[in-house]
Amino acid sequence: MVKGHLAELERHVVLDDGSSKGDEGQVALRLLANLVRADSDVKLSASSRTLERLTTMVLETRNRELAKFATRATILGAATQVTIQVFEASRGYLPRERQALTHV
Amino acid sequence: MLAARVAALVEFARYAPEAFEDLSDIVLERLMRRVVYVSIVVCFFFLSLVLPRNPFKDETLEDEEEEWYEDTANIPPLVWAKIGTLKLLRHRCLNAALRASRDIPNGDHTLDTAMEEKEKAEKMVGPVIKMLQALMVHDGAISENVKEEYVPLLHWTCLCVDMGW
Repeated sequence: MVKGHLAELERHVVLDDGSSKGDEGQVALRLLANLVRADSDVKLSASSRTLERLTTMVLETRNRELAKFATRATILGAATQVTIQVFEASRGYLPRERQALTHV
Repeated sequence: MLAARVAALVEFARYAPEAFEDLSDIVLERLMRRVVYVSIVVCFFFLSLVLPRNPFKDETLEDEEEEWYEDTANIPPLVWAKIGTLKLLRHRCLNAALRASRDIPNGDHTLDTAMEEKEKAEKMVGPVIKMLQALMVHDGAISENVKEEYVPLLHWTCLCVDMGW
């Protein structure tokens, strides 16, 4: 059941372009982050679209809450290697590093 | 963007302490220099040049005004960044304390390693406690020499207390 919810939340996060009414994407991201926090066995799907979207949020958003929950979802839901790469990029936000991240 | 970056770093310090510790020196040095030691008075001075003033506001009443932001949306990004930095330091200290307090005979966790972890934790926590104490003593300012006359600066200290510090 959790997997079904997870997939649905990931879909909302990926599809949200920030223009949706009622901040659906933000709510989905918050739920996603807290879902992976609540259960350590729950991991994000290996979908590159999800990871790319989360990484973009971590590195490029100006919204504090978005950055917070996207980072949390990435750390707790993705592989350790991804987390380390995002962290290293987040220190400097260099375009070259950002480019490399899209190929994670 | 500063507040968002700090918020992301807080999450790394909290949930990925090993990854964070590898580069924490550089990150913390930057945060201290660019966030904690930056006076909000300076920030507000520049903002006041840009933002329109309320012509009906009575300047003499400033001291009697409520010292809290009614809406969190009005809190400046620098204040959020400062709060975030304090949170980051708190998580770092807690993680260090946790590592130091692990059971000693636990697989490859030898007595020497435990002592090293304890010393490391003490080195890490000491300065943070001193800094927090200074913030409380100097009404939100990092030291006595920093002039923090502007009232909202007090808020971020109060906010930290309110948020469970």
